[in-house]
Amino acid sequence: MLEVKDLTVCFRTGLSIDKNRKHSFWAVDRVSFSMKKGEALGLVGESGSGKTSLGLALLQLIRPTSGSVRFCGTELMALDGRALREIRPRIQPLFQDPTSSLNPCMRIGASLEEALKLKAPLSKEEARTRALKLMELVELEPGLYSRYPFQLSGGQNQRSALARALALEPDLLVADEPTSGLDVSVQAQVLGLLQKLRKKWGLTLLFISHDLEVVKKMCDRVAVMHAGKLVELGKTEEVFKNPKHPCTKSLLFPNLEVGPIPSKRNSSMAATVTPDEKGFSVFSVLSFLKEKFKPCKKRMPPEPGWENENRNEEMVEISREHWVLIPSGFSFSD
Amino acid sequence: MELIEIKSLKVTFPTEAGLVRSVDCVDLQLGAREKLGLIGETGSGKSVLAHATLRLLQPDALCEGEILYQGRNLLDCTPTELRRLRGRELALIPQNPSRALNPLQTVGKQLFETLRQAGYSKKEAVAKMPELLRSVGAIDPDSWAKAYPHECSGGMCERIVIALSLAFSPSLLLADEPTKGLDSLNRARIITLLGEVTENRALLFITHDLEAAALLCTRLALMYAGELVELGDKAAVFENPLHPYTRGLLFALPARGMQPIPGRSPPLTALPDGCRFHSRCPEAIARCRSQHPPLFDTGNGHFCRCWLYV
Repeated sequence: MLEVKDLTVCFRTGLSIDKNRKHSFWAVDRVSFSMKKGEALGLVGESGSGKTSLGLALLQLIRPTSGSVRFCGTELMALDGRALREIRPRIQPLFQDPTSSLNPCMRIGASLEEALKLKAPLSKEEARTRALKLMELVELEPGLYSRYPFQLSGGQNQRSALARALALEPDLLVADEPTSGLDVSVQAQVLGLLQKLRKKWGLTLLFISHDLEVVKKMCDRVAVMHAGKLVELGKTEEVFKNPKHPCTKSLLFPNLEVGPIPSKRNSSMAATVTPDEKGFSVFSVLSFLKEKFKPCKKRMPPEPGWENENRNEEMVEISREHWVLIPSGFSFSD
Repeated sequence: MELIEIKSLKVTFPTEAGLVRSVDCVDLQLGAREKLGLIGETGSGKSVLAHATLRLLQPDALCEGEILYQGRNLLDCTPTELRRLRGRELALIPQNPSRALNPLQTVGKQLFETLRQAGYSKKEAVAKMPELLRSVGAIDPDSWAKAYPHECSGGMCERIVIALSLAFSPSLLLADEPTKGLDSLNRARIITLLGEVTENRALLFITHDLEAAALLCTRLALMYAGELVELGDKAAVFENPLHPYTRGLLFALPARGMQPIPGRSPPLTALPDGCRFHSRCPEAIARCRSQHPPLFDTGNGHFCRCWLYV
């Protein structure tokens, strides 16, 4: 259903801690993956890894710098204006903050009707009936129809946003941390609903999250991102049981030592974040690679087309459907 | 003597829809080096309790009861006395740190200002700043100091407000949802950092993140609809949760099944008769609908507000 190849999103920005330097920021760096109809793919990574940027790029809410996004056979990068507008209803977003993703000046019913009318012209009564049906689908009380988003709780707003997305009967739903701001039991309600609807409608879901437990529950496959790159991809159970890339391992096993600081911090995942050239909240992976990978004596020649890269890396299938990004010429020690 | 003793604290807000009983007769004690986790969902009253302790609520909030800090009732203190305590001996790590910081000043300026308030001279404050930032995990304190809050990530902002709260070396830290909205790595780091900085301090850890509270705290208190429903040692609450709400919260965790608790918490302007949780409780009995249960001591310091344990 979705085929992404070498997707790159590059921001040229003057915003920098060092104000004398303008630099380019590669939010998404040559990411490639595909999704089958009906599957749920989790996209995980720490803050700043590029997950949201990738989601927005797929939705074409940010136009990618380069690469290809084929959705049901159509190349989205080649579309513009009207053609893109026509395909948009089939890929819908669900954002992290439901209160701000809904129009604060529109009642819930009106927001839903607006979305419904995009599909086909509807009479007032029909629009209302369909909107109420949508609300029933997402388990929202019909009394909330005439309320404004600020009058609803976070969980109710997220359901309204979900109803609005489903109004267009999308093929693909891109959910960007849909429950991160919600309480634990509300999260369980919203995610349970999402799972139910997925099964009922065969909805394809790209689930962006930093919560690995949620991803384990919701997704068939998982993709791990770090500093804009896809570093590991595979079946959820396999990746979580057998993580190969150091970034995946650090996500799965963050060193949770509570107590006095040991006198020497020899963990390279020391609790520090430094803003560096690639942006904020990005770790240097080099220390890991030096630790974990043994450089092979024979080096592969650099591949053509990798203009902005000072390291050669490639996705290698290390076991059935389990891909890991490793530097060319390196070999696994385990 | 305990460091903080909250006795029958009631906080009510007058609103158009009626009186909101945000905190309803809560009793809590915290020892000098104790770490207590205060767990509850949105609207449970946990943040209001923390702000009430520091007298940071709006003027029309009505606070009744006693909040004894080293024997003194904070609800009776004058503004001058409160100013001497707030931030200095009792410090709050506010929720939403990126919004709590002044957006128009660099991090360095805000730290400098706070250190000057703490009595450091200009030279001493400038010297102490990098030390304070390093203590919260900054590798490059100078670049942090030059940054504005909007240039900092969520995790960085959280560390900066923790640094600010430590400037006066308070004896009690009230951390209000410090791990909210953070990814798992940053969450782990903030939890580790909080563990380090509260080694010799008391901590009231307010959160809805049960796991974070369990990692840091020795005792857990659960709030629902403005009142305490369970209180006990961490191990007891986690391994043997008594209150159906506690059990519901544990089973709602993705790692334990992600089972939602049906229904919603009651509006604080129209609390039901009887137990406030009864409409959502799978084990409710007839008594729960009509009689409001008190907090029972089930033994070993494990308290529960539930008729099942009478």
